Amino acid sequence: MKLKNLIITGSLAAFAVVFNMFEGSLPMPLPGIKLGAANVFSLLALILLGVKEAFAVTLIRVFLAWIMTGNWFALLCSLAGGLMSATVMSFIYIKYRDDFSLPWISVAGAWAFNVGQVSVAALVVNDIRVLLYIVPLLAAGTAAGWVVGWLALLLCKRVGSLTDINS
Amino acid sequence: MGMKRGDRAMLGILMVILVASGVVWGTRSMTAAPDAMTAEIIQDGKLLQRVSLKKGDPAREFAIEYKGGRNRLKAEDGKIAVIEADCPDKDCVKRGWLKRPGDSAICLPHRLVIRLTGESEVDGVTW
Amino acid sequence: MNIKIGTSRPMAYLAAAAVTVILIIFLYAANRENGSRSFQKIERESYRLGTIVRITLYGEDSKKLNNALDLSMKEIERLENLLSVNIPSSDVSLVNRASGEYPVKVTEETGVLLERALEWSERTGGAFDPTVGKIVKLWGIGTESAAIPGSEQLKQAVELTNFRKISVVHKAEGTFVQTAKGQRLDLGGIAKGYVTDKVRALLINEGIGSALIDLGGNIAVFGNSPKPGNWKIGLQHPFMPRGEYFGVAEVSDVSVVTSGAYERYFESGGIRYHHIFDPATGYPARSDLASVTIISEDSTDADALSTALFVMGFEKGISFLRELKNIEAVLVTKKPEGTVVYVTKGLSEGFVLKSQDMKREPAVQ
Repeated sequence: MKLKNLIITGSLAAFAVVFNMFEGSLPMPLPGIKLGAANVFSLLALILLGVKEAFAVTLIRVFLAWIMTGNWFALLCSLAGGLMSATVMSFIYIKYRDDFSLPWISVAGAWAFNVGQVSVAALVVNDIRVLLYIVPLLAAGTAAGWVVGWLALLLCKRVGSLTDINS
Repeated sequence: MGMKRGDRAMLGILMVILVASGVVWGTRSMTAAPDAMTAEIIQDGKLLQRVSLKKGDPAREFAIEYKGGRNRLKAEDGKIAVIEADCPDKDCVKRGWLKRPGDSAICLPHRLVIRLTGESEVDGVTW
Repeated sequence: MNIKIGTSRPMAYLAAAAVTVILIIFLYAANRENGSRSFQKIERESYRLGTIVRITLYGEDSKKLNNALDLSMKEIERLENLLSVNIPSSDVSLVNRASGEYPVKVTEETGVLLERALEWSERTGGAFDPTVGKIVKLWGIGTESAAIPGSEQLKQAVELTNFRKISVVHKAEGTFVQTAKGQRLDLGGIAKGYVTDKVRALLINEGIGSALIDLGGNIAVFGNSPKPGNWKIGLQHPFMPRGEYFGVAEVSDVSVVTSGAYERYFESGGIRYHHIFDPATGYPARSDLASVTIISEDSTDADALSTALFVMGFEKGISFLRELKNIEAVLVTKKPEGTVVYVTKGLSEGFVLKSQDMKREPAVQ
C-alpha cells in the first residue's frame, strides 16, 4: 500500500507540474490571477491519501516550477501561498469536514494562497500597499478555488471510489 | 449542490470584504487623485533623475544645467513643465504642462528630454 | 475514512496519465529551447544627427537586444560622420570644400544616397533638391545667427541650387562626386530617412523581431507591435506643442515621416520663417500645407517625399502622389474655412483623426 501511495503522490505531483506549466503559458488577466488548476492535485492528494501527501504534492509542484522557470520571486510567492493553502485545507478537511463542501474547502485554500502570495510580494517589494491587491485576488481566488474544488470532486469520484464525500 | 454551514459563512465573509473594499475604493477614487506618475529627466540619453508626480503635491522647482545652458522645471499637482529655458527656440517651455502618461517635452539645444512614464496611446509621434 | 484505491482500473488510468504527462513535459521542454524567456522592451535614447534618436526593441534575449542597440548607435554615428554637413571630415563636407574644383572620392554609400536624392529631385521637378545647402546656410535657421538674408545673396544662392550640376561617377577606383563652384550639398532632407533604413536593415540582420526606430520624428516600425493590433504612430499637430498629435496612423512594417513648418523656425518682424525652403525662391516654402506625412516602406523615400510635397503645396502634391505607387500620405491644409486633413485611400482605414479642430475630407485616390 505504501508504494502505491508513493506512486499516486508522484503522479499527482506530475499532473500538478504540467497544469502549472500550462497555466503559466496562458495570458493572465492581472498579475497573480490564475485558475490554480494545479491545486486540484494537492486537494486530491489530501482526500485520497492524507495531509503528508498533500504537502508533498504542493512542495514538489512549487519546486519543480521554480527549477523550470528559475523565477525566485514566483518561488517565494507560491511557496508561501502553497504552504498556507495546504495547511488551511488540511485543517478544515480534518477538523470541520462536515461543515464544508469540497469546493468551499478549495476556496479557503485559494484564499490562504492569496494571503501568503501577497504577503511575500509586499515583503519582497517592501511596499505595504501591495497588500491592497488582496481584494481582487480574493474575488478571483473564490471563483478559481470553487472551480478547482469542483474539479477535484469530479476527479475523486472517477479516480477513487469514495464513500464519505457527499455534497 | 447544497451549501453547508461553513460554506455560507465563507460566502458571508467574502461579501463583507468585497462590499467594504468597494465602498473604500469608491470613496477614495471620488475624493483622491488617480495614481502617481513619474517624470523621467533624460539628458544626452542618460537618465538624470526621476521625479514622482502626485495629485495635490506642492510646487517644486529645480534647474537642469547643460554646458552653460539651463532649463528650469516645475512640478506640482501631478504635472510637470519646463518654465524657463535659455535656449533660442524655447520649444520645451511652449510645450506647457505634461500630465498624461507618455507626454514629453524636448529641448534639443540642451539635449534634454522630459517624459512621463506609463502607457501612452501611441508607440511614437512623428514630427 | 474509507477510501479504496485498490481497484486496478484507476491505477491503469494513472499510469496512462503519467505517460502523457511525461510526453507533455518533453514537448514543453523542447518548446522552451526556442526561448520562453520573458518578453521585454529595451530602449535607448541618444543625441545624434542633431536630434533625439530613440530606438526601442522588443524581444526575449536582453543580451541580444542590447548588443543590437549598441550596433545601431554605432551605425548611426558612422553614417552621421559620412553624411552630416556640419562635420568637417564628412563626405558631404569634403565635396562641398572641393566644389567646382575636382571630383571627390566618397564612400559608395554616400554616392548611392546622393543618386537617390538626385532621382527624387528629377521626379519632383526640383521641389526636393540636395544642393539647397547654400540657402540653408544663409538663413541659418536653428542656429544662433538665424536672420533674413540680403536679396542679392539670396539670388546667388538660388542660382547655385541646381541638382543637375552634380555628377556622381562610379569608377573602378571608387565613387566620385563633383559639384559646381559654390554649390553646397545638404542631405538634411533625406539623410535621416536613409539612416533609418540602414538601422532597420541592421536590426533585422541581427535577428531582432520587432522594433521602433525614431530618429527625431522620422519613425520606422517593423515586426509585431507590443500591444494588440498595429503600431500606433501619432502625427504631430502642426499648431500645437511638440508631442501633441492630431491623428494616429495604425501601421506595420513601414516608415512614417512628417514635414511641417513648425519643426524649426525663427521669428522676425512678427513673421515666422521656417526651415523648409523652396529651392526656386530661396525663401521658406509658402506652402498651403501645414504638414505632410508620408508612409512608405522605404524611409529614404518617405523623407525626401515629405519635404518635396510640402514645398509643392496641396494641388501639385496630390497630383504627384497619384503617380506614385505604395506611398500613402496624410496632408494637413490651412484653408480659410479651417484646417482640413486629407488621407490617401490606402490609409483611410488605418488613420484615426483625434483632433477636434480639424476636419477630415473623404479619401484621396
